[in-house]
Amino acid sequence: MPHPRFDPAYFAALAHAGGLAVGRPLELFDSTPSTMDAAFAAAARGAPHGTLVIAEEQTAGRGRHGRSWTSAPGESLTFSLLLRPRLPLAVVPLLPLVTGLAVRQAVAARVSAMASVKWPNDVLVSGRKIAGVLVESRVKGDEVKPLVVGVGLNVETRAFSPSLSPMATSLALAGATDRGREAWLLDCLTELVARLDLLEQGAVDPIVSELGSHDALRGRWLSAGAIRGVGAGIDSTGALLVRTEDHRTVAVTSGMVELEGAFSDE
Amino acid sequence: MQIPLAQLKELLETLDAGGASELEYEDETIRLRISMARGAPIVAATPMAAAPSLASAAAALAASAPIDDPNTVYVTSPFVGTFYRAPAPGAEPFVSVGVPVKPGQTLCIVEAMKLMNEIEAEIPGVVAEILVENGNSVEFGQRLFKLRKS
Repeated sequence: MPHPRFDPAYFAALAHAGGLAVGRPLELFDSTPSTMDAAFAAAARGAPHGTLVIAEEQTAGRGRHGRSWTSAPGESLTFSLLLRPRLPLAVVPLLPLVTGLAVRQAVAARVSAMASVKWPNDVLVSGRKIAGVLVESRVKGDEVKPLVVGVGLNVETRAFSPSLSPMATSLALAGATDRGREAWLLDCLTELVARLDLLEQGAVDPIVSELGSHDALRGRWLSAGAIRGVGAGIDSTGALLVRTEDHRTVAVTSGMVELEGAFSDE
Repeated sequence: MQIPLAQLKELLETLDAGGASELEYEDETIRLRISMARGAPIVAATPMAAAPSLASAAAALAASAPIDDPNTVYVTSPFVGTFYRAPAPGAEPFVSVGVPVKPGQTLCIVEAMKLMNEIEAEIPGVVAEILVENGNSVEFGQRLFKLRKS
């Protein structure tokens, strides 16, 4: 059964009702190579803060550094939000985590299973990935020019490919089947705007505290490149802290993290 | 967290007078490494603690780091992260040595916490030197490119 097409007019009505400060103008594509590229192209044409790009299908969606992210039309909520924020440069690296927290909160409000953020950019439900985040910025000198926040949230997906199946989930599989993608989008953006407002005010502590409560890696054995140890939290710069076997605490700012004994329900 | 200009100047003068080629300084707020290359100091500072005043530390360093040649500018890293010369593995690098660049042209990506930052040229010039290997980690304020003004 085909999934209903994203309804921009319904989303606009929801956004208006919810007092959402972003999401206009909205560009909806049936298919586009990448909503990130479309959002940067809009930025180059002078599109304002809050411009939203949504695609039913991405043909060259990006994951980490070129890794592709694909989805069947209508199954996922795939969007990129153009921001021209007044953020201190130093808090910008927190944005993937902040976006993850926003999506996590939107999901956790409607799903009974445990939802968490896996550093640096995944949202998990019961230890399985339900959403991925990608943030890209253009920096010139000490000024952040446009910044694009991208999210792919698995909404209606009922079956994943065999390789993804043990590590992925969706809102439908998690039991949340009663809402359309427009409502999920509103919730994600509302949560994101609330956290961006905090960052614009320089309030990093509430973000760090929220990360501490929903950190999927805390207390778990993991490896990050050559570093192996136990997740020991996330610091105020967004770095992952790892307590190694020789009792050092190492701050990891980049790279892949593999959980040992991952994907078990907790 | 900001290093007073007077202190930085003192450190540089001390280093210059002493003839040592490298100096490291560390306290709770900042780690500073200065090395003398071709008679000109290279300053790299890594903030040790909380974020919000990094920008001011950067401004202080940018303002005070001596420039060896008025026709040369350095593009520095705005974040701690990983340096990429190309948009994706196997893709063509954004720029190479000898290539002219325009203001706003992307020079590289610095990735931190999955945040892909495309670093843009601020002035027109020619890439004179690329100071970091692709895929290496970079410190806050570390020099990435040397551009010759055109």
